Amino acid sequence: MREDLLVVRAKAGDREAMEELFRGQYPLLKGFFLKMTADGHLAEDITQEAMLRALMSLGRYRPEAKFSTWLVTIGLNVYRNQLRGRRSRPRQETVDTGAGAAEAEDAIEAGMARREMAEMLAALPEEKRKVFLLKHVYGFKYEEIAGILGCPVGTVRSRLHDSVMSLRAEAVRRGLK
Amino acid sequence: MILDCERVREAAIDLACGEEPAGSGRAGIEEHLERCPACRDFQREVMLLFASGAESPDLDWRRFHATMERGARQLAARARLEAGFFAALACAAASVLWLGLGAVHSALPVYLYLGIAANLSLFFLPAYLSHRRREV
Repeated sequence: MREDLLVVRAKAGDREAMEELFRGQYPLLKGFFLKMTADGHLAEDITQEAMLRALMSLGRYRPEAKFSTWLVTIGLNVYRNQLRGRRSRPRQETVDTGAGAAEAEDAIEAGMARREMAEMLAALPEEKRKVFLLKHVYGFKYEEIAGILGCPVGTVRSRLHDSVMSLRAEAVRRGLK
Repeated sequence: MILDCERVREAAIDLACGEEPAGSGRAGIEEHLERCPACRDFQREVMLLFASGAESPDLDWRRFHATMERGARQLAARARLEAGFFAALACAAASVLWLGLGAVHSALPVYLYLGIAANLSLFFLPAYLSHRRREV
């Protein structure tokens, strides 16, 4: 069903529409915060809290913006509050690789590549990491990212370019090129 | 040559993430990429960077359903609370009016209070419904 119809039905209290609306966003939101925090449990907590808050404020959502944009904005507020509470840098040792069959050689390799990527992302400054992941995970346009982060489009572009350059340099340093 | 490469690499990042490159035309960029192996490598690396790590994470569907359940319950509770608030507002206004009238006329009948409350409820009903409609 189309997203705008789902939103209307969910706002009217249709439980199935609510679930369907959020079900589509759950993997993206979790994937985004997993890469943002490099901590599977924290990412899950932020994702669930963001979805609950979004559900409770669904009446205030206006479809001028994409639902995913609105949801990730709420998620970033939750993330900011969580960080304020924890006052700690993202942990790298609890990276959730998401790999299933660990015995398969290619799954191990893929897991290692993901871990390398997670470590490289964790090393990026937070604002650059946000921009890179909003582009990478969601594929948002520069204008949409600027709207979410409340900064000019030029800043988004330069942060993305800086993050790509940093990641590329780090990949070269690690011999991943 | 150096400036050209810089500009092309900036454009390569924009192109890799589906944006229109600022300033430079696509034809010029493609022409440069054809004759510059270093920039071609750069473009390939950037594209790989954007293609990497796009797998779906492990999802806790049980917790997802619990969150949806909790949200639906809280929404229903909030709707009841709002309806109660509007009803209480109507009753409070009716009581104030009744007490005011009671000060002027002694021994007012109870049905007058009920009449005032009913009329005020009718007055508050559109306000409540428009509030609900704004939410939807």
